[in-house]
Amino acid sequence: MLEKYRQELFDCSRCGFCRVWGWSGVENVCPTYPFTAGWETHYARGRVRLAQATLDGEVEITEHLLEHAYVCTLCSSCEAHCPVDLPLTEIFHAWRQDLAEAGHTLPEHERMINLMKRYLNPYGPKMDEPEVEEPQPARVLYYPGCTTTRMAPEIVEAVTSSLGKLGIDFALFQEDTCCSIPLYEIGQMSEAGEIARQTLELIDAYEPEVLLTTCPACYRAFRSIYPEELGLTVDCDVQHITEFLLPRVPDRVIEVVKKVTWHDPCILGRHLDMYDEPRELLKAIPGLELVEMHSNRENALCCGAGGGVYFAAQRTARDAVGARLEQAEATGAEEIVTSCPNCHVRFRQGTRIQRMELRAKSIAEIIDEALEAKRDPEDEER
Amino acid sequence: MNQERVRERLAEIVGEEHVTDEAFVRLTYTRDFGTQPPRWPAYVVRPGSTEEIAEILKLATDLQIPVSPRGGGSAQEGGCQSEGGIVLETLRLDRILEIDEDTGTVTVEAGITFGKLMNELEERGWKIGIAPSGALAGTVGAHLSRPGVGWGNIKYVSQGEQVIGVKAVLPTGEVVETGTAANPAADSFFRYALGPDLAGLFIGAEGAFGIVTEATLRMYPWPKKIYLERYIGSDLPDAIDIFRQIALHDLVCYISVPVIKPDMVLFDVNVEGDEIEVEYRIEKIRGIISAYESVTYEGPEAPQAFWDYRWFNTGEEFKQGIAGAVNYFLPFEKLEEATYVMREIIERHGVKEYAQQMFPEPTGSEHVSLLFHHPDDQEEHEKIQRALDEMMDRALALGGAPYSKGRQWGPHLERHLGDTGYWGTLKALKQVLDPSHIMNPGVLGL
Repeated sequence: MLEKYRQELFDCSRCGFCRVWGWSGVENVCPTYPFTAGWETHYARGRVRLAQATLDGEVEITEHLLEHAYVCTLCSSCEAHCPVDLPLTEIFHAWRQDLAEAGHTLPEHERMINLMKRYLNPYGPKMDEPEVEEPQPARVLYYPGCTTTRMAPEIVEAVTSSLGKLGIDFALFQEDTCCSIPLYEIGQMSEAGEIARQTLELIDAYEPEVLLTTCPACYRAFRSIYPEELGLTVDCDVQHITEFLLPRVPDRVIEVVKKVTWHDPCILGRHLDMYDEPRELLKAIPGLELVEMHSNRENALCCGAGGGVYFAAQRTARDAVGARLEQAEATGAEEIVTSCPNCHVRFRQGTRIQRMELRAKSIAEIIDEALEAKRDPEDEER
Repeated sequence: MNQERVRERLAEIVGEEHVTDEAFVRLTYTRDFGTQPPRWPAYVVRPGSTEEIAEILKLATDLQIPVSPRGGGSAQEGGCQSEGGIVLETLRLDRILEIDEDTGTVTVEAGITFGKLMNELEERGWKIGIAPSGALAGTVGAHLSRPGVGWGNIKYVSQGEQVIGVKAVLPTGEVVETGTAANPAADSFFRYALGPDLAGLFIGAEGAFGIVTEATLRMYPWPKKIYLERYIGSDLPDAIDIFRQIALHDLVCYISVPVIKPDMVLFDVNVEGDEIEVEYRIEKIRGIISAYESVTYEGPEAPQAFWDYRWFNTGEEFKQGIAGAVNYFLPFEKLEEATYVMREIIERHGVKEYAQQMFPEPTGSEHVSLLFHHPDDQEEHEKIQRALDEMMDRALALGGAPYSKGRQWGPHLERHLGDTGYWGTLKALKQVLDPSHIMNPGVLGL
């Protein structure tokens, strides 16, 4: 895979602009670099050099090298701030595929792979396994995704409540199978493809016309990774909760007086260019004041958990989320709002650990808070 | 002492986390931003204080291990490389130590990047005089060591000119403060005090005499107005004459001449000050330029757009590839000849992609040639190396004086200056200050 990017790999001018700017709203270009030992190999310039060396067999692949390679969230900030326009995220993903194919895996990732193979999610079995009802055909299927189901059930409750208030007929995907993005991100393509195939089979049993997601990673998986990289056909209209709600919510919300700041999840923002929809949704709520963090939109700091970092380098991930929360706190907002369950869970943990007054909220919860009660059935959408 | 024992001794100074001899990490410190061949350090160390640097240099002197300081690794002449020695990366020394609004000075650690420093000052309504093109990666310590020209060349001359004082560690581990700060009872507020200007020993020295760990720079109130205009000329001598007059009358913050082609010279002028001052200066500049029919006014839009995102935009020219650079100062009267001479050499060697540029100073100009190549193209790389070698010799013969020297210029400098008193003095200073010859050997030709 990396061979495909040979030209681009050697287009790197070695300028070093992918490390830390401290200028123009861009703090740490690489969100994890400041929380590592800080070697060249801990940010994009050095990783590009390592990828070149891997391609040409110049370097021995050790576990320590893998640790440096994988303390990268694939957040695309380096790519967004690269003056020579290198496709750095694709390069690093291709590098991971080559490493994985050659059998080089971090032990922490190996554990996650095994859990995924056995339980179809990276968290293992549920303590209390609920009974799963036979899937019934539904026009709208809400797929919460494994992290939301396991770690942030409040998002599921909020979406369920909101769809109910809007009078939308929908089914809730009952399994906690993963979209396979965690495997995809660490380059384990064949395992990712197998999990994805099984997940898609379960989804297809509902025969949905609209597949509704809250997690940006699931959204990206169904929308582009399944068809474009895993050879799977998704036979429904995949929508993210923000784009789904945007045309339905504005005349249904009541005043909510609070000050919030929006965190652009890397996948929703830099990967999928969806910066405006969530902001428009929040601005539609009367009384709600939306304030921006110092680094926002394409400059937004990553929460530090993506790309397998949460599994392999938890301390770095925790420190990186702290940096983002400091930016949120500096806005004076009461709540940091996002749509990614991964970011949301880290924010929730981080605000508690740091005893912040700032609270973490998902956009689904905010919308549910603002949505007025169910209208007359004649006005409802079927 | 074996390699592992040396690593352990370094780890005792900086901590295990901040030293490495692992091959895959060292690999990423073998090159800089230019075309010098890779050089493999035996160790990379990332100290966090002046005291740690002093201990490292003492150890290196004892064991006779060469040490090369490195900032952001974004220079082009191989000055931060080390073959078999220690690369000492300064990026952990990244604090602003004091912003003194009474004296108009800012004291920083050497490893702070310009992006961070300038942003912090701008938020407080201040600015520094000069910053390099690679401001987002480049550090103050590295810039001083070259000796630091950039955006602000005419009004502020060079980073060296902006220095009030430095703190430096000698190869023996002794710590030296310069200017008023040499008095233990005083701060750094005036450079030319006490005895000789010892700061000058470290400015432009590329770490040959020691490692600068802190610097106090002048800072200035953020100007009320910054205005830019672009011009395009078709006649190089006319353009150079314009640069000379603008510089002589001290009318601009800087003139940037990013494109010089056989029939085109593109240049931007940057003027700063209050409204009336800017208006006055622009009127004078337009008055000078209006006498030359070969030059057309292109307006403020394009240079203003460049300025707004300037520190990012400077990186974009390297879409053409990695650049071998030959940068040197010349008096205005020799710029035209140098442009033709360098172009002839570049084209004779068949180099495919290159750029010629100028960045005028008050009393002359930096003349720049950038020879681009894709680093996977070995044939082009070899052509470029041959061209660079010839260009450096010709530049010195023309009366040029290089800006950033690194290892690239070393042999050429020794050949051209070897018999001079200047060279003899440099060698004598090196012998006295660095008798074990551990400080960045090879730079400056020392």
